[in-house]
Amino acid sequence: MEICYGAAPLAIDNNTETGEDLAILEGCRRYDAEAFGQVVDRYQKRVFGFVKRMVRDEDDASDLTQEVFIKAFQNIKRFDGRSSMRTWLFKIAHNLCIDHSRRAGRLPKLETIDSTPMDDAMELDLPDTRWQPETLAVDQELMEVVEKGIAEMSEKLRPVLLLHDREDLSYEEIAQLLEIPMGTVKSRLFLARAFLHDRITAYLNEGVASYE
Amino acid sequence: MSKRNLVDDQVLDRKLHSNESLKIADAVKGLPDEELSLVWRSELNAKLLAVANRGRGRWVRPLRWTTGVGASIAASVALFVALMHVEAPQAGLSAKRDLESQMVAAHKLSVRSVDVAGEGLSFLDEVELASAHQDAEWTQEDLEPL
Repeated sequence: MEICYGAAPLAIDNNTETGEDLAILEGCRRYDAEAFGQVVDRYQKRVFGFVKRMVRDEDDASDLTQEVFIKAFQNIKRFDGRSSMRTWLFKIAHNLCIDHSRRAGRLPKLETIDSTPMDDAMELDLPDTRWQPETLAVDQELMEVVEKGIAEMSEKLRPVLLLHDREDLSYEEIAQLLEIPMGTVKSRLFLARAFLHDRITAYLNEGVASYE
Repeated sequence: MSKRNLVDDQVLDRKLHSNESLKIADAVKGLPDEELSLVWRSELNAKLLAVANRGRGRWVRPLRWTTGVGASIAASVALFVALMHVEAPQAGLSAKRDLESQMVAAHKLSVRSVDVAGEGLSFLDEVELASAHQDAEWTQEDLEPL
């Protein structure tokens, strides 16, 4: 859904953003800290969750998340509305996370992308008694396996998985955000899920083996 | 997109929408939200306020400059107008001085006339009387002393 705001079309999230968001955005452009505070209220948890899973250190994630919103507010006049506010914030967050990783000396694990043959991925059956995603929040151990799997996967796969499966961004939005083709988004998403699938399978099989 | 790429894309879509793949997506979706402390938020608010003040200052600075120039010009004009009117009080002041000297002279004269003529009407009073009664009719009583 797009509406025109000034000269540039403003993309609006179908779920949440309404005409009220236009008033908030207008306030932000006048450097109204209170108006931007409403943006922070809406997105702070989601941005922090994304950043924390990207950089894997809580203190660094706290600082980086603040930096995301400060940068966004400083550059609010450059927000042209071609993407949604949510996408724009995650783009800033992703760029800061990449810069942070480069400073920390962590390079993307390119070998992980090539190591999983796509044809063989996710052909195994997981034991249904243990693998119930809807009860993941209850199964603390399984949740930790998923978190650990996300932390261990390649830094090229991780943002795609988080942005699509956790933040509900579309393939197009992710492609625009990461500046990669849409086909690459899909293939990385598939590989990321396959990686997690392997981790969960190994964990569940260990559990079955120890029981036996 | 080439035919081969299209086929690959369709295969990829099918795999992404498989049950196992969607279960992984659900697992990621089900991870808990991250909480942030009030301290974190208050720190951020302070930093955002600083950004807001700097951002608004970019507009206030040129406004102050133009206001200052305008005020200076206005003050200069006002000073010029004030200086142009400086001479007018001088004329009034000299007139005031003339009146004052006349009053002093008149007083001195009246004092002298009293000294000379004694009590009663001074010549000034007579002059006034004469002018006041210039058109009056003379009666016998008026003429008798003459």
